[in-house]
Amino acid sequence: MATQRTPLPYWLIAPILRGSGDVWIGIALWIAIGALVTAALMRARHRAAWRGALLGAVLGGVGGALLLAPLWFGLVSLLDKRCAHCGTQTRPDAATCPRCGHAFTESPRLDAFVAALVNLARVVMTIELALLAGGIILELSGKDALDTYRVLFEWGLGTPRARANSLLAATPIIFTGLGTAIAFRAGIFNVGVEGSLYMGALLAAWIGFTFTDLPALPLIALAFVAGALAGGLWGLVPGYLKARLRVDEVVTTIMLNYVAIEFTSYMVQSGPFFVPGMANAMSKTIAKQAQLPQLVERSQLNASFILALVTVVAIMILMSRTRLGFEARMVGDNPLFARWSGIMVGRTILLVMFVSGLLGGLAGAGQVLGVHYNFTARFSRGFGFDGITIALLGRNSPVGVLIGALLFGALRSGGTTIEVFTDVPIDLVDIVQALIIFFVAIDLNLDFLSRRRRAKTDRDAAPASAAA
Amino acid sequence: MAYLKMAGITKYFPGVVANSSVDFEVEEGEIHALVGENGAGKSTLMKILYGMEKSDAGEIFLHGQPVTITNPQAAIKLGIDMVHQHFELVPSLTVAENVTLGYEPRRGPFVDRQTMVERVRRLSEQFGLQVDPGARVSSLSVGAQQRVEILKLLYRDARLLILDEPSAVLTPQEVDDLFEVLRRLVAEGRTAIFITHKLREVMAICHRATVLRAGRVIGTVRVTETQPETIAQMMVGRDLEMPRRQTSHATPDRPRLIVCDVHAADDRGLPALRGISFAVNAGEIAGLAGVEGNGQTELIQTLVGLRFPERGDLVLDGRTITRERNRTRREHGLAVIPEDRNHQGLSLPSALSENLIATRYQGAPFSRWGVLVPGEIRRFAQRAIRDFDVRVRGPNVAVKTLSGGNAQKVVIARELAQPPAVLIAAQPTRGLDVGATQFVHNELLRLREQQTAILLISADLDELLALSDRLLVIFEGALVGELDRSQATRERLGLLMAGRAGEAAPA
Repeated sequence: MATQRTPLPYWLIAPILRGSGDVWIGIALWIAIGALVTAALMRARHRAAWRGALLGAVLGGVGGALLLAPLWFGLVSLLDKRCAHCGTQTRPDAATCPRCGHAFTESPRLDAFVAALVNLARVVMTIELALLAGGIILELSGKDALDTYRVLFEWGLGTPRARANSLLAATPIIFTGLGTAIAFRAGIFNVGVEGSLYMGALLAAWIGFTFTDLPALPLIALAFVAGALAGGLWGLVPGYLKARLRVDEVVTTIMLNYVAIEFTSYMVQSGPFFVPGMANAMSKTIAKQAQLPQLVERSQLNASFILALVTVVAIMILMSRTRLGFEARMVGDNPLFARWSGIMVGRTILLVMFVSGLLGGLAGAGQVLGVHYNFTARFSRGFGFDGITIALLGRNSPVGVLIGALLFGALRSGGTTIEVFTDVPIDLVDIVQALIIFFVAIDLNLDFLSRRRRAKTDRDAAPASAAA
Repeated sequence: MAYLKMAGITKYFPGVVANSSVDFEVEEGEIHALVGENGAGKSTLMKILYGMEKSDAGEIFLHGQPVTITNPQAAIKLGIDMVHQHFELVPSLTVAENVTLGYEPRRGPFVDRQTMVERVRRLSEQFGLQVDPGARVSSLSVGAQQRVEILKLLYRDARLLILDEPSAVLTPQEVDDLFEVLRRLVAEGRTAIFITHKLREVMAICHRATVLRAGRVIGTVRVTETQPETIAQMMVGRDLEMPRRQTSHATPDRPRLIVCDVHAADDRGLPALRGISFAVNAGEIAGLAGVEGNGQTELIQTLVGLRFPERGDLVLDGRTITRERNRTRREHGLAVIPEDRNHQGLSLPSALSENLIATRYQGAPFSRWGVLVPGEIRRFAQRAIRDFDVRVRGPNVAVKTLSGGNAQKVVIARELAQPPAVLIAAQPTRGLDVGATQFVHNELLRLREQQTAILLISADLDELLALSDRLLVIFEGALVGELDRSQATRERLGLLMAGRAGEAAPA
């Protein structure tokens, strides 16, 4: 093969992949982590005696050796709490014992720590299970699954350039993931970020090749602002329909996606932005000074990635610390309550849809200014739809979206080269991605197990309250 | 021997006992009313009979034979069938298709449409249920849809029909038609169980009535030998230690809330409020009595600003607020304890502190320039937890983990943190235990001393009599009586609530 493969210290990620480096160190490391965490959780959550903790350590160790350590974190953290007073088992999030009313004394800090751990385990578990299922599919179809994953990791993370390309692939989906997540958080199922992305990209490109006399900074700023506004206004259309006329947003946003895609294609294919003599359907190239600076040599990773990181922080602050964020969360949690409390639900929906579209517009502008340098018809490889997956994976939290987008970026970027080095078709990445969506959807992490258990504890608890 | 006998039925739900050793008997050929407040356990009992819920204890006998009913199909096979409050029809199919759904007449592998239409037509003529078998259900009125539901039961040859609040969605004319059909059905030897909380209907159509309260049977009465007010008392009475009567703090010349000739429609566009007028003075608790479903819900929504009146005016502290939205009304000093605590009054997945500031986050000190001030919010929440004795670990706990009494304390802490000008308290003690009820009562009385005008809407007559300075009675969307506390008795209230104002006048 022409290109050099760069073996990774796989044992760091997953001992099962072997490769260079000392496999045993990796296995020992994971056994230690698995045992420690499982034992600690057994002790703290389950109030198990030391024997239980020891058992947890053994199980965690076995899990760790099999690369499923994070899976163990998740499972163990699901274990019921046990009331220290009367011994009743109850669900992990209960504050008081349903039988004797004994208040659990876990400190809020420990609770928060466990919650964070559970969330992290959830994301990792989901992806791990998807990779596992994908591996089984590969093995069944007679391919070398381990080698395929080695290639995937090498080209997603192996060299500085590969890592830069992963970040490049992550950039647009950080924006679209955030945009989708804040709409989801407000209870709006906005799947129209893709449409906003096209509108934003088109307008940013137009600014870029029209106002060529402007110096770099004002031009770039203007292009971003215009792109964001275009996306935001595009998001307002279904927002208005939902807020004022109660039209279901899923239908309108899906349809408006097509409108946006076809409209922008028309603009460059035969409309005002058509460039005679150009083979592909693309607009004029934007001014040299409008092209975003690149961050790494031999990669297209550009300044829009930094903007994406800034945006993550901004959205975090917006959602947790501002009035709009509070309103959005209340409307998402219980719209009826929001109405009764005097929160203007319609206005909140409009604003959230505007911000959601705004982020889609930024994604489009970033791609135009940093990667393509023009507007190409249908340039998006489903960035808007990846955003939906990531928002679900990250449970609508900005940090979760960032983590999800980085993982997806690596997957996408590593996946493109799979065909070169193995006889596995590139569709594998799509399969793994679909499996991730699948596992997110069944949400085996918390609800699946605890729902069954809740039904059981409720039955047990009822006679006690009847007697009271 | 009784046709149907349910013995010792007990059903637990998380934290509540829906049915507690309920004994229930129905004779063949009668219309038996099952009455009680919302949440008394009527629907649960019927769902157990219909196989939708499994009882935790108890037995069911049909013609003296023990039967086990594990699902609705089994119930239908036994001749027990149910019309649900929310119809279960396929709007895009025709009447005949809906009626025969799942039991279509067949010719070979195909549905025999001709026979289907013919059978449904014959059935509808036989029982006077006028519907066109070929019409699409989506084009029918609510009353006609209900006739389709009843046809469906008759097509499956139901012997025992359960009707879950069948009149709740009907116009008075349609109710009369329904009664006509029911009479015809029992004349034919069928039996009906009629779930309702409207006493007029019990008196008009039923032979016997069983009253449930808090999951227990209070008694079964023969309707012809009973006065409606007796049933009303059985429904709402509660053995509770009520706060002692206190001297009035009312300032008669200072009305803080004036409702003037308010007309409003319900969600179906039918008139729900027909010219309501009253005023609540500073330092006064005005109690609103009435059987549920007589316009109380619409009145609350109108006062809060979630339903706008077609006619009439609302005045709060001398300011007309008829067209103002909820938020503006709250800024002018309105506070509300909503009927439905878990949906209207609280956001269960959200944190305690978020619930507490939901009505006042807009301005200082909780937010400045659109940015929340977490320190102020936490301090406010901690103070509220202390002042209102909410048993909780901290302000960041999700409200869904709290018990009913604690959750209501959160609502009250939010609404009463600053003494409001006017408080609308709707069913403030529903589902609460004795201690929590006492707490709520004391809070209301404390507020009265601070010259708040309180409108107390309650299904609990004892609560109304104990707390109110003045009692208003609502019946079919109009105020039919106003009694001073000294004149108010359970009997007179019962008569007024049953719509018999003439007999309630002092002799």
